[in-house]
Amino acid sequence: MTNQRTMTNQQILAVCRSNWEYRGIDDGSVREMLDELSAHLEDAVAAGRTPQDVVGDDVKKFAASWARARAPFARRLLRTAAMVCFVIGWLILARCLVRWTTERVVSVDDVAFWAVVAAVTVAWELRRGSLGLGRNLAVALVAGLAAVLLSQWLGGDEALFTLPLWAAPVLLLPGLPYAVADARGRKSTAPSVD
Amino acid sequence: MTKGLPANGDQRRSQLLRGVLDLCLLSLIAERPRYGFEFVAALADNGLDLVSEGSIYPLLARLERDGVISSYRAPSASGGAPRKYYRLTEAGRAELASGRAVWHAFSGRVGRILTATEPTGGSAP
Repeated sequence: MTNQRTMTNQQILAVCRSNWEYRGIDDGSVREMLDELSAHLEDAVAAGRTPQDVVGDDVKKFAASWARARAPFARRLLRTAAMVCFVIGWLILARCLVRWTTERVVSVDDVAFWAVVAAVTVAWELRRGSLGLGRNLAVALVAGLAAVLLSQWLGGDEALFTLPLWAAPVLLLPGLPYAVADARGRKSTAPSVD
Repeated sequence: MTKGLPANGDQRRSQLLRGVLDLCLLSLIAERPRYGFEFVAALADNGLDLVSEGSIYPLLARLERDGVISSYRAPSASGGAPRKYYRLTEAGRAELASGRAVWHAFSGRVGRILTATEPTGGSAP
């Protein structure tokens, strides 16, 4: 575990970013909060104080309390649920397109693989901040494949249910407004090239 | 339910400050718009050190959600990246006026009790 007494500004910002994203804070607000915290951390260091004087001994607790104050739980829950459905919708759509089929058979292996990939990614990022896309993917894949091997060893490769192709757009729909708003926000804050 | 007694003066000061921190922030913004680090510096200048400086941000977010303050981005006087400044809204002015009245009445009563019951030098039987 990272010693919070020795965390750098960048590590603190990474943990806060992951925490806020997984707590359903929208992208624009996350960027705004990170800018504010980053400026404060720099000012504090310039004034001879430590990053821990700013965020306290428990950076996750600090991030959580800011997220709770920023947006009500119901709104954050709605966004998280919509975005989870959005990701699942994309996965179904991608699989159907790759296999050129109109239905997706979901087996115990699939559920074990994606549940472990999601759990490992979320748990790791909440505790340590993001490792970057490549390394995060590698860690999640190793854990996911281990889960698949375990489920196969336990004899669980049977089909659970079949999802028709139309389930993909139905799952994509609730998260679409959030995804569009996030993409627009990213575009408007991207540095312009003159 | 009664909470445990604060172990020392620092803890008591911290608990008391937590109860009136929103009023202190509103009062500092009423003077002029400020950004996060300026609140901490102003509190420290008045002898009010926060255990964790960042605890003002959840409070500022809550005040903004409640509509008593609003924010805007502007360049900082000290240079560097633009900062998020907070300013008081009309609802905030009303909240501050009412909070000040409550605080003056409350602190007056507490002061009277603490003064009236000060030991006079006699010992209990």
